[in-house]
Amino acid sequence: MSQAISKEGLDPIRELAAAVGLSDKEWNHLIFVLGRHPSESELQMIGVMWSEHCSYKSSKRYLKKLITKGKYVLEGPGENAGLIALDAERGIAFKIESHNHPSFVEPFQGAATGVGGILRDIFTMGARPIALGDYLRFGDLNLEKHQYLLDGVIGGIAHYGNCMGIPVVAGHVGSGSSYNGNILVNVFALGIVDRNKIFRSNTGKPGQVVMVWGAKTGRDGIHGASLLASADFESGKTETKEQKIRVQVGDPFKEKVLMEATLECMQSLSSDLAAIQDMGAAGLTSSTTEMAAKSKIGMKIDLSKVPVRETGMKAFELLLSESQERMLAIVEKGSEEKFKAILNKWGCEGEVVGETDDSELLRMTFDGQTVVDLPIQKLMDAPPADLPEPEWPAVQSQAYKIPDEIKKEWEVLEKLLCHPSVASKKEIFKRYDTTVGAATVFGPGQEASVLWVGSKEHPHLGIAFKGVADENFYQLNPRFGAKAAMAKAVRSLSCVGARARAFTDGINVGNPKNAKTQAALSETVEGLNEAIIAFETPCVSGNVSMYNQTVSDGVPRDIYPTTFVVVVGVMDDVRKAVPSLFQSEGSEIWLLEIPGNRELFPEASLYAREFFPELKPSVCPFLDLEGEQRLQNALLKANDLNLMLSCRDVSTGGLAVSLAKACFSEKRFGFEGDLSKTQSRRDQLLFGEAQGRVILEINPNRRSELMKLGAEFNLQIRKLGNVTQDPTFRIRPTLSGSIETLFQAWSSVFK
Amino acid sequence: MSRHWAVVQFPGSNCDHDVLKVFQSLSKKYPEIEPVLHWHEDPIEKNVYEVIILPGGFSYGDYLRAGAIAKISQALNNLEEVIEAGAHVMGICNGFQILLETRLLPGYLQVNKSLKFISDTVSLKIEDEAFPWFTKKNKGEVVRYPIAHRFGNYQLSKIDKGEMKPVLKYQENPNGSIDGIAGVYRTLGKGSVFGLMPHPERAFFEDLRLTDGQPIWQNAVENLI
Repeated sequence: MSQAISKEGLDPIRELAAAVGLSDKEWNHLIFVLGRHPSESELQMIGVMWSEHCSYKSSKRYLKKLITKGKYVLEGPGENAGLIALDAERGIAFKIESHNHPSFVEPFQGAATGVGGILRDIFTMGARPIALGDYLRFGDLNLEKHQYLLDGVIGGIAHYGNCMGIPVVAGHVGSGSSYNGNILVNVFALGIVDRNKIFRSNTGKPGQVVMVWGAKTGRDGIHGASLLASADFESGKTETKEQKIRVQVGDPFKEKVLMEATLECMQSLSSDLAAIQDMGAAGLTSSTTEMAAKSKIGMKIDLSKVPVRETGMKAFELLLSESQERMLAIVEKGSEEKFKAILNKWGCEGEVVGETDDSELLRMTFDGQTVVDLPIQKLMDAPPADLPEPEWPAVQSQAYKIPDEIKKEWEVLEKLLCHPSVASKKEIFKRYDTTVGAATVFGPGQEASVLWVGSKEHPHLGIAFKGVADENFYQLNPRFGAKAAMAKAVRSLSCVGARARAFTDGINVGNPKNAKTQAALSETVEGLNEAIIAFETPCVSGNVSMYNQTVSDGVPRDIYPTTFVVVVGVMDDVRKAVPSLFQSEGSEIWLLEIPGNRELFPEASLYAREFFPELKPSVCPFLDLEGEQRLQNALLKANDLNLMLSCRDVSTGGLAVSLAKACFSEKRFGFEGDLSKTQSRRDQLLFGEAQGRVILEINPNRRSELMKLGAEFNLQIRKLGNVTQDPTFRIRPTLSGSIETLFQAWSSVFK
Repeated sequence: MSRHWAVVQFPGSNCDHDVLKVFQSLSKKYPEIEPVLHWHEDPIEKNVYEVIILPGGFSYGDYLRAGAIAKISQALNNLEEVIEAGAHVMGICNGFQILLETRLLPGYLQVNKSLKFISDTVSLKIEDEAFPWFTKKNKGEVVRYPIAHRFGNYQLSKIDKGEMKPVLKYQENPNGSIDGIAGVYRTLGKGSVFGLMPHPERAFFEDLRLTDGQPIWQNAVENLI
């Protein structure tokens, strides 16, 4: 940074403005509002405040269209996390966050601090975190680099989550060459809050005291938000020292004691704690500016009082440090010592650094000198960015000849089961503590995760959640991708017996200056809204990660637009949660599906991509949101009737893959089915990915009830076969082989 | 004797509330039991607690070595005398690591053979009775408890002559422990010491569909009350 200033013949402050990432338009706006040139510290602050990461300047115009209100919503987007009602006394706080860029540069610490950040978001609201989920995309896993990244990211998440004692109960690992230069690490966390003790960042008042809690401040992570998270990568230069030193270093023990101390303060000193925010990206800068602006108050901070662990730190370093495990709190005057006592009990720092006033100015001094004096309300919003109009490249409908050839079914099935997006992730999940907290009913590997959150009034109450993204759908058609992800997540919740209530979205796209990225944002939001209306599941929190782009051989390459949706639902009785593996020999397996035209080939299925790549499938699979609502209601009714022994969705890889996976319990059941009478093209039936299909396992004597259910909700049902003791997988007339062979193939990828 | 059952809370403990939840559930049926969360900076006096649990977690961040700092905490300052006077101490996971650091049980725990953290649910054979946790009747039974650890590979060096008996063994050794030992036990004066890597507190609640851990807690109630 500082070299830039000394360039001869150039206005040094103007030079610095460019170095912190301000455009000409932003510089002019700043001068206009201030009526003077900014100081160096002010400019550094504005640089991060107006960075993409903090300001959402390139995505705001679409995000504000998202539907965020609904009957269960207690707090929508804008706070540290979203909140929905669990019961009359308690709420659920949840959010997803990305840590893509740091994890690519330094996978272990990047992923670990991602977990730390999202957990702080949850407990800052007053909620005790009870579950984590991780949604990951790597490049081609045959590349050594991506094996290293995979191992590092999993290790970082495991390290932080395990030490904190928050179980990782869900997740998804995928891979594809579009992520070769830019991996995705999105982490989700969920917590439980007392509805009478919810804390926010926008509730500070003049005349209160500002405190910094937690770890001491060092020089780590400076410019992480502006230069790492809001910039693209250049191939071969991603491990420069310049970028490595932007990655923060986490200490889960510090976070654990900070969490316990903060929750104890919230419990015992709730009326003295006016407002609180975690110090994430751009640390002290974003927390002070956001709290002051959102609370519509002024703030005076003495930077010399911030507890430091390095000597000689400059004002701008204190302002931009992303040292982890810190919070900013506004408390009532006179209560400081009470807070310090609790913080010190847990071994945390607690220091008064300033006070609030009614000036609407953010003023900071350092060693007696004024270094910052900004009209904060007027500077919160970056001037609108100049962005291209959204334009999704027209998909050429290709004149292809439907291949006559039908591949050997058994070989297809084996190959699909070893595809990284389908293969078993058990060895990965074994590195996460999935049962700490004594609340995990269903952990990883089930259709959806289920947590037991019983109380005196509702002893068996449960929370379920499911996170989904199919990037191939998004790449083909982002609106379809968003709808399919929402439908799949809601369907999975219905399969286990939970009704969806709300969701959080983790949007990951390329360079916002591309018309295609703008279109991905716009279309994704439209698709999400269609699903929100269909399922009555508003969006209560989220995250946008941009610049997931790498310049390789001079050509910029964006990732496939990838939006993870994590849908959260509630169930009255976790004892009725339905498993996804076959449960008993002799039971009948039925397919419950939404009626409609499924004869599209080659739609964008894994089968089509793997076996007919030359066709470049351009047709989205069947999806009917209105039908999905009926399916949801039918499944929840089936759950009320205790009809299902097991239940699972048909998704990536299609029907045969889902049936095979259902056999992979420890007992290793077999499956005996017959589809020889079907009129459809057989490979389409076995491996197609039409949405809105669910496999049910029922006791044969309850067949008539299932038929009634199908008729009541206008859904098609058809018998697929039976569960057998014999560990053979057979779908007559042509598909047959040993379950063990399939299981070995499925388990062979992630070791 | 008092019926206070304590869970010691160190900074970094993260299974403390899980054990407490088990105690609270037991105390609904047996109101004599009073669950207590005991802060690490407060000394534990003799004859105050009947049962003391050292819970899982990462006490003091596991800086230095797992359990090394907890051993010198004020709470555990005169643990030996407290046990001799009649307390029954169970150390689970990190608590087991702490007990080994105190040398009240012999042996040491090293990193798992796979070098990785392992979280799973495993089958364990109850090898022997261990008052108040396992009765003669339990001997030979197989139970399933969750495990979640990176340093769970139990070993005995040649100079480890301390008294103990293995009371819990893995059916399929997940971490390289000598003889597949998952838990060791000894009596000490009027009390006892039990250290184990698996988590019986996570196998207690019916809502979680795994209740193999119920007998261990139920036995303690029946044997002590």
